[in-house]
Amino acid sequence: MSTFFTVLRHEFCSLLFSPIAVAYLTIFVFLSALLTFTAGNFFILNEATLSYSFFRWHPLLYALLVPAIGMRSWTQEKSQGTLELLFAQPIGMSPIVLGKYAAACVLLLLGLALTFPLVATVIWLGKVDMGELISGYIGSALVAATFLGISCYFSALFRSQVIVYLLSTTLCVLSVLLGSTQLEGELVSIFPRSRLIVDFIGSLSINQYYVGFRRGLIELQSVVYFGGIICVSLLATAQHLTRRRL
Amino acid sequence: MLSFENISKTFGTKQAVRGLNLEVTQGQVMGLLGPNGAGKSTSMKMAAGCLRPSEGRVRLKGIDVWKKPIQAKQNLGYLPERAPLYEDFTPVEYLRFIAKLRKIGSRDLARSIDQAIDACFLQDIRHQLISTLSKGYRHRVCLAQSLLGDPDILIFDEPTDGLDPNQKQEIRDLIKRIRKDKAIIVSTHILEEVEAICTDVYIMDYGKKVFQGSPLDFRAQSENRSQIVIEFTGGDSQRILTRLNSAEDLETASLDTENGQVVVDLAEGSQTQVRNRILNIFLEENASIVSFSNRTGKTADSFRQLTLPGTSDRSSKA
Repeated sequence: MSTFFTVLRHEFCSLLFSPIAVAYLTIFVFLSALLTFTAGNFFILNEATLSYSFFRWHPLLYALLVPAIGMRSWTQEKSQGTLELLFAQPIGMSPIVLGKYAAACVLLLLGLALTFPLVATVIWLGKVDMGELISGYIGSALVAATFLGISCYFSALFRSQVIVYLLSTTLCVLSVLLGSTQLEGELVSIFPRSRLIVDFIGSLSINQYYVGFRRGLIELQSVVYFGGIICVSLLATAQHLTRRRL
Repeated sequence: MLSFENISKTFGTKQAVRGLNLEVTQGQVMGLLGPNGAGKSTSMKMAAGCLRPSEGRVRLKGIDVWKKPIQAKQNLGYLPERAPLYEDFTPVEYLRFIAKLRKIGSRDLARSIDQAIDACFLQDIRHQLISTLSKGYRHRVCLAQSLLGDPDILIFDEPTDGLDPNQKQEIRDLIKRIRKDKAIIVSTHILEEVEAICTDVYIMDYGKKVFQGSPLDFRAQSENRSQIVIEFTGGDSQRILTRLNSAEDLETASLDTENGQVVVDLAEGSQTQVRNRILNIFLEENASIVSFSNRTGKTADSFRQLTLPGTSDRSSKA
């Protein structure tokens, strides 16, 4: 446990003072506010809620921004040569993988926390459903953590941060777009006789499991979905790094 | 303390290390030499638990590195090739991180870091960002992390790589100071380092042992070992040669007419008196000695002879 916190503290300090973290936090907070008040039609909706205008954009924002945080997690260790140094210490692989992941998660949560002015605005303007607000933030955090897990895994696979970013972003954006009605329409035209295939592809969409959180519902199925992807990503990361030594 | 038991490592079809059997005990500094690609760094990585052997096992203080890695590595300090560092931190922050990974208790943490900093002369730059340090200092910071917790086994992969002569000497002096109760294995390309700090030498080529012994034995592999070169004038050179060739403790004597020199190969274990005997022969033959010099074998010559392609008896020499 002490190794986990040592790695977490070290990694968080390294992340926090890096240009990427500053860029991520600035861009995420700026774009989420911009989208809320423009494309999100916050004032036109005339409701004291962030469900449609604010939380709606988070999966797409995370798909584009979170891989920038995840891409450096292992590629930098490999390029610096410090991965070998870590392997030579009297510690297991799990605390290292978990500690690095948790440090990046803390940064993502910090980004979410920095959107508090929007929450304050909505509370000031009207009566807010706090349950819906809290579940929206939980869902948003889970989406971010899921995309982080995926990009950390790619980071363990490849040396190039650019390749990690491109692959992670592609996968994450696809998982967001798969649930869109336009894409569903296209899939139906491609597979006109096979609703099963269309439904299966649609079920891979992250939005399907996120939408409940936006409406104030914390569904077990959704928590298992996100938790499952995170666990599989982290296990695969640890497994790959262990196999590197073989 | 550190033992390699029939270690082999294969990458695809290439066998990087074959049948490595080596033991390093307390007080020994084992110099691991070999051409590039010989398998030195691979062997060291296997000892440090960074790479798993295809066959065999490595033990640190009797503990198998792969069966009980955490216990085994408690006794280990490792300086990897190219001295990896976290650029965003200062030496103190870097050492604190490594010390905590080594589970050095909070009571001993500050003392352990201070000892490592003092041992590697890092006092002046302890709070300076690593990214701003010179190559020499960066190397010493990485060396300092290997000393944290005073481990009994030290593995140094090219510890003086890229350092200037003064810094190299500082590192060598450090190794000489600490070697008394540790088992140290040092990989190096610098042959003078072998004689300066190593108690034993192990040479690898193509993943296999080609030599193991003391630095003196290593030097003795040179064709030019234990020679005396005498430049002279006057006297009957043929009579001098005949007398030298029949003298005790001399292997051969040959005449280099071009340079007016006689080259004498001394037998192994020959004593100081043989030099007096040689001098007397020249004096008795009325020759005037212009110069009289010892030509001991060069380690570079020994290295070349042991590792050049096509060298005979490449399987092992001891």
